Amino acid sequence: MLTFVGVYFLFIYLASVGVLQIAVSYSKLRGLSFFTRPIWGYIFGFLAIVGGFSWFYIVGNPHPEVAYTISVGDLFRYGFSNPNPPSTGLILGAGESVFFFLLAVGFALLTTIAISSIVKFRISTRALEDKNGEAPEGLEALKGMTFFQAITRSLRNGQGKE
Amino acid sequence: MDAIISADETLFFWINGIAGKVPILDWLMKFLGDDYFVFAIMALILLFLWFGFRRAVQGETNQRAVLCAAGAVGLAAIVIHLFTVYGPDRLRPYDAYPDLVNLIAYARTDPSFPSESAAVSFAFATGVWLMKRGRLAAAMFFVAVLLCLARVYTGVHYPLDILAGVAIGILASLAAFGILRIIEPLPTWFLKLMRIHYMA
Repeated sequence: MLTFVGVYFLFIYLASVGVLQIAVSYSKLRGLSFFTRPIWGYIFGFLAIVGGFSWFYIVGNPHPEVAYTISVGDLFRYGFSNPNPPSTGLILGAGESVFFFLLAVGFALLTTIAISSIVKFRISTRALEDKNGEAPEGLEALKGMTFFQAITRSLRNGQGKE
Repeated sequence: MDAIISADETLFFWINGIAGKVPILDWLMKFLGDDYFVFAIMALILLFLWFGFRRAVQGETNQRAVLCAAGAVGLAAIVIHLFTVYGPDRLRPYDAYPDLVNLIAYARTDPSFPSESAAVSFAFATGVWLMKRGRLAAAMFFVAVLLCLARVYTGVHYPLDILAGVAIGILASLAAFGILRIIEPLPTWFLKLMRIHYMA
């Protein structure tokens, strides 16, 4: 069973993964991108955003007066049309919307970090180091290494200082 | 006051009078005026701003804009909540004039004055604009204006509700902007902490 919250969560999750891929392609953050070429990041991002919005507005009728749950069975039965469920009252208030939005964005970020770290595990961590051998800090560092590599490097440097 | 209310209602019926005549326009306005579409877009723009930059300096400006907008939205929501609890309980147009209003959205149960949607959408746009003036902020203002228009068109708000909401949104953004300056260096420390964890 997928409740309205689930439908909303998936909508924000998909759209966030898409926005993140567009943003990291724009910023040239290779370590957070799923792809080697930025153009694929833009295409994937656009499709994920369109997919998220389509999911929410076509599959999950977002009118808040419609309190209903859609089951997988309903999805097969009705396809992309709405089953026109009965009106029973508000579902997602402002507070809940914000909470589930942040939760979905958090999961999208974790997914992005995990997938990019796995896909790009062979990325060269020396690519962006300057003449002194120092890599840039913060997100800038992810232009040349994955999040996992960056964290590993931080931990190693931290241990080296002790 | 009666003259203002009268003018407000006249303007409302003029705009809402168009509803129900052009199906495609109704569909568009219903879409723009719903509770998720514009807010999801604006929040996703903030997500893009946080991660989307070419230079480190630009990145910090973007991230401060996100902090300002998020703070502004929070403040606007608190003010609207206070209005809902302690403010005037103005009836929604479709409740006040059930036979005259073209209601093409679902009926809300909270008070009409002020408009929460207008406040939040303008808090988003102004919050970004105060820190980063550019095409993105202009686009956010454009979408916020469309949302406000859609709310009147669909019959859920009077223009005066919208104006009050816009004022609350802008004032909340200015307050958030001021608070961020007053509590400095906390925002800088926060950004540094995020930078250490490769998230800013």
